[in-house]
Amino acid sequence: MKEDSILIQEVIAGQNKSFSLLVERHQRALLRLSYRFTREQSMAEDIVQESFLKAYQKLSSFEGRSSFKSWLFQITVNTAKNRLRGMNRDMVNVEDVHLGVDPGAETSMLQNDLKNLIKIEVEKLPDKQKLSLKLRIFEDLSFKEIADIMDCPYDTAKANYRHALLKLKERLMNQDRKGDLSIFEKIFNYEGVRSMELEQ
Amino acid sequence: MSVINKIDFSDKDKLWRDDGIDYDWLIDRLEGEKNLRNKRAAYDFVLSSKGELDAYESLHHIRSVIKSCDDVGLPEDGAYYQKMNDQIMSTIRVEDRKKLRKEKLEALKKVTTQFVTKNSLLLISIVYLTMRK
Repeated sequence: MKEDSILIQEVIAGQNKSFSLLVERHQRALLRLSYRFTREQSMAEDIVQESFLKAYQKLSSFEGRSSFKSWLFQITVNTAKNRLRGMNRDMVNVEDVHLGVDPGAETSMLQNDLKNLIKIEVEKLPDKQKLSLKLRIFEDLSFKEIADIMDCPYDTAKANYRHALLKLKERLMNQDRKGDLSIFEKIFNYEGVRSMELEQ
Repeated sequence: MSVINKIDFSDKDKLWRDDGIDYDWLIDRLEGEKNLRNKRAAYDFVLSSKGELDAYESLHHIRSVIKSCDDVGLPEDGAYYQKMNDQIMSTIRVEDRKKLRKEKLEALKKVTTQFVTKNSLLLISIVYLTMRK
């Protein structure tokens, strides 16, 4: 399989077909990333299309200081932000996110409550912290890649992530003090987590 | 600009850091990152207190629950992505044609302007010479 850098050179030399291979390679990741912003598949598709078009038009200016994937992610994040800003919408309204709940299972309800609570708390984070947290945990990106995407130094990307995680911990602890059910107990007893750890 | 100025503190929350635990190091350990500031090696994880163990475990579990919240359910169908790829490439071809047309038009304008300028000068010269005679 040809590397991205070789395909890019071919596109610059006039072989458009090579760009189709780049699209094929990265479109799923870009769609997933766009969907995180929009929560609407059709809008996410539009953002992916626009991002690839921008990437194609600016390809000769790609210097290769970051990976092509990071560069594409950066374009997509900016395109999504502009699109949402234009529509005067919030990034994601977690109140609109409905989870499938198995009506018969109490444990499932608790897990979904916990998931909902965490989702709400994640969405309350400042934008940069939220983005670094999502890129790290959901997209499994390195801090170097996150720094490239967010156009900031490596230490800043890491610090934003660290603040996000600590803030979530603090907020969950505050919720824990307010509520009668222990959130931390729920988290520790969460079967999904246990099984995930066993897999690791 | 210093690193601290680039961190998003927009919600002004006080960080929960008054328990004497080195969270920077704990999170670096959690993420498998080297912590150059701290003398303790990230991979050589030795718990120094129960508080540190509790903090590490809760961070680890919170991270795992966040990971399990990833509910992006997008199509897996290969045909869907092929169609998307075709649409992107079709848009690119259209844009390429537009760009080419624009470039041709610009070139034509340039040539026309040069032609008109040259011929106008020639005509003016001829008229001027004719009138002098």
